[in-house]
Parts: sequence; C-alpha cells; structure tokens
Amino acid sequence: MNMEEVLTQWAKTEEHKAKVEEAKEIIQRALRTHKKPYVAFSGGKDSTCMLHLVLQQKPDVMVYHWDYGKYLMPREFEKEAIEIAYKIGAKNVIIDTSNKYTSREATGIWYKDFLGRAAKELWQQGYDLVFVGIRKHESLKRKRRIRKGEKITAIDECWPIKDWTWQDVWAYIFSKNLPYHSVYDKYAPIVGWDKARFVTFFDKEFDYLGSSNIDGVLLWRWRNEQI
Amino acid sequence: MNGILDEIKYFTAIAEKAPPLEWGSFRPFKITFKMRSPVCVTTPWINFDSLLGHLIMMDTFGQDYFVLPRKLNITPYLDQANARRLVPLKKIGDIYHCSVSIFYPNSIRVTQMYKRFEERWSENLAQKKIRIGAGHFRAYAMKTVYIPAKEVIYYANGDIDLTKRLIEEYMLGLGNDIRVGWGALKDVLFEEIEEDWSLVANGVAMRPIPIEMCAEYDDAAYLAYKGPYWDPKNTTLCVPPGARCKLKDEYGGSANTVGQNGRTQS
Repeated sequence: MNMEEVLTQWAKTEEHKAKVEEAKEIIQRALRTHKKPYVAFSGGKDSTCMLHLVLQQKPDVMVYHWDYGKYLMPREFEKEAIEIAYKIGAKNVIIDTSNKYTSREATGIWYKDFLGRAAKELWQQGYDLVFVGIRKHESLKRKRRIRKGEKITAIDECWPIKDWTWQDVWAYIFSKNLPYHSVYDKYAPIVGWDKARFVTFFDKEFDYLGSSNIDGVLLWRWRNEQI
Repeated sequence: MNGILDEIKYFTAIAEKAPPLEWGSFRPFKITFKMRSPVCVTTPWINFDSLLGHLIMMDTFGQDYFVLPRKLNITPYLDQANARRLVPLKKIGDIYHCSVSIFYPNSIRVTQMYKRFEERWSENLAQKKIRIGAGHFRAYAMKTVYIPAKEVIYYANGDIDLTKRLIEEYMLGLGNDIRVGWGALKDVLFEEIEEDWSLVANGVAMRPIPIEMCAEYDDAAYLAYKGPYWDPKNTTLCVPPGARCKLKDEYGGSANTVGQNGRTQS
C-alpha cells in the first residue's frame, strides 16, 4: 500500500470525518457573521483543502494569492499554484505582489508589503474576514497564535482546518481527488509527507533551517533560472 | 597582520614559493571513491575540477589555506609563474574534461543536523527540546541532505599521476561537512581507460555543457559550467548531466572520443 492509499483510508475514519464536519461548521458560522470574506490561497496543500471547503459554501468568494516573485518562486511553480485554484472551482482570483522582489537577497518583503500595504487596502475595500489555512500542528508558534486567537491584520481571521493533522490534509486531498502542487511529489518522498511544505525556494530567510540545502539538490534546475 | 595589504603580501609570498605543478601526459581515466560514510551534498552532483582546484590550493598554501581571507581574491596579485598551478585536466573553451560525481546507489535522504551543538547540552535532548540560546552563535537544527553511496565515480581526461598525488596527499573526504564525519573515504581506485567519458558518454552529458558547444541536445537548464560553481556569474544555459546530447565537431563531435593521448593545454 502506498502513501496515497494509506491516506485515502484515513479519510474513511470517523476522526477525520468529524474534523471535516467541524471545518464546514466553522466556515458556515464565519460566513454568517461576516459580509465580505476572502480566502488567502498560497497554492500549498493546506490552503487547497481550505479553499475547496469554502468554495462549497461560497462559490464566488474572492481568492487572494500573494506572488513571492520570480527569485523565490519559479514561474512554473507560480503558474501551477494559480491553476490549482481555478481547477478546484475558484472564479474570482486576485494575484498581488511587490516590486521589491528584486533578488534572492530581498527578504522580509511580505511583512512590509502585504502587512504594510495590501492588508490595509483589503480592509479599505470592505473585506472583513479572511480564511487562512494555518494549523496548530504546524508549529508551536501557530498553536499559540490559534490558542490566543491572534490575528495579524485588522481583518478578522478564520482558521477552518486549525485542528487538522497532516494526515487529515492529505486524506482530504486524495479522497476528494483534488489537484495538488507537483512540488510535493519532489519533496515528500525525501523529507516525508508530514514535513513537505510548499513555501518560497532558495529563500535566505529559511537558510538557518537548511531549506536551501534541500532546494539546491531537489530543485537544481531552478537554482539559477532567473539570475 | 595589520590590514588587507599585509594579507595580500603574506599569501602571495606563499603562493610564489610553491613549486610549479609539473604536468605529465593527459589521458582518459576513471576514479572510484569507495565510501565509508554517506556523502553530504548541497547540489545534486560534485564537480571534479573544483575538487581538484581545492586540493591544489591545499598543496599551495598548506595549513594557511584554512585562514585564507574568503572575500579576497589574490589571483590578480600573483605573478604569471604561479598562475600556472592549474587544474591538470584537459580543457575545451571554459570547461574541463571531467564528469560530475556519479553516485552508486543514488538515493537522496534528509536528516536533521544540530549545528554548533555541544555534548554538554545533550541533557536538553532528553527533554525533547534544545536550548538554542540566541544571537549569532545559536545552535541550528538544520536539514542536511545526504546520499548513502557506496561508490562515487568520476571520469576525467588529464594527468592521472598528478591527480592521484593530490588526492592521496590532501583529500580527507568527499562532499560537504566532512569535519562531522560525512563523506569519509575507505579507498580510492585510479584506472586508465580507453574511452574518454569525461564530457559525453554514449550520447549522454557527463557534466554541465554549455549549449553553444552542442550540435544536438534534449534538455537544457541554467547551470554553473565552470568554477567557482557557486558563483551565479558562471552560469549559462547548459545541457545538464544525464541529458542526451551531441557535441559540435569542433568540440569532439562524436559521443565517445577514443584514447585522446598527449598533453593538451589551453
């Protein structure tokens, strides 16, 4: 039995089904109490599940995607991430970015340009809720943030899959036959399906974790593509 | 040493005193590294010319190699005689006749390495938590990529005797982080071979080859094709190792160039 088959079996467990139902209820409640929501979509596995769940209840929801620029996100990967949103039914996809992504040395731009500019614009446009696919199991920092209910902008945040484990995420993807980013097929067999993540690549910000070491070996084709 | 000029003087003096590297005849050869421990990598292959360049630097500077200022290029300060301490491999254009590393078996693995971790902190592991402290010297739990290869093979065309001397005298291990035990060598075998598989073997690129040198190719990517391989300035559109290609006639044409003996310098 391969990993896909194992995780598809996990989707049949009561535990998983309960988490999916809980996520649906969280979304329903959030949609009832807010007027203009949007979904933060990275193209990764978590936001793919979350977007699929939200679209079932609000098919016209705005999907907001942040483009980290050609130096940190190879164009092929970026294109594929956006295609995933459309494939699972998104109709209203907005792609935003910053002109500060001028090299791999440029770090911390999301904090400055998303939090400093884009988030304010969204707030001014009347968006009052954002669905974010963060999970407690990802890190202690996220667990703490979810426990405290900390939002990072003025807009309310909703975390429908906050209690999901990595097994739940993959079980949902495989059982619903959702598309997922091909980067996972490169990373998961090496780092594990539990640790494979879709984030920026060759990013100095994650050098201390050794991420660039893995990118250098697995993504050699894209190491110098844009330089 | 007081300043940069003193450093230049100190290192150029050592380089100028180093005996010249005497090249013998060039011929195709194969090197097999028998590995005692897995090879730690940050790229999918290790370039042989850069490995030899590293060994020549150790031959030139001895222990002082390890205190060379990393950001100071002393080459412009060296006289011509010392500039002749070049890699003893055949060269066409900017590329050396040497394959990239071929790992047997080639399976990529990842582990976590605790950088700057000291044994006196090991009690923290029992608590499943490492006190990483803060600041510049904090410990990192870094992901490290390794290949548990039993053998690493290179094909080259050059001076096998000089290459053998450099490897036997100076090479401590292969790949990254050899100081912590990765890439330990068990044995090294040197064999002269008839066919030159240093650039192309049976129609397959053995190293990054700029597409300008190829008449036909079935894949291309932006890769470093000459040392230093970490420098983005040394990248161009290349046929990657493993892709099918055919060199242009002026670069050797046919897939296998048989027995290119004799000294060839560029």
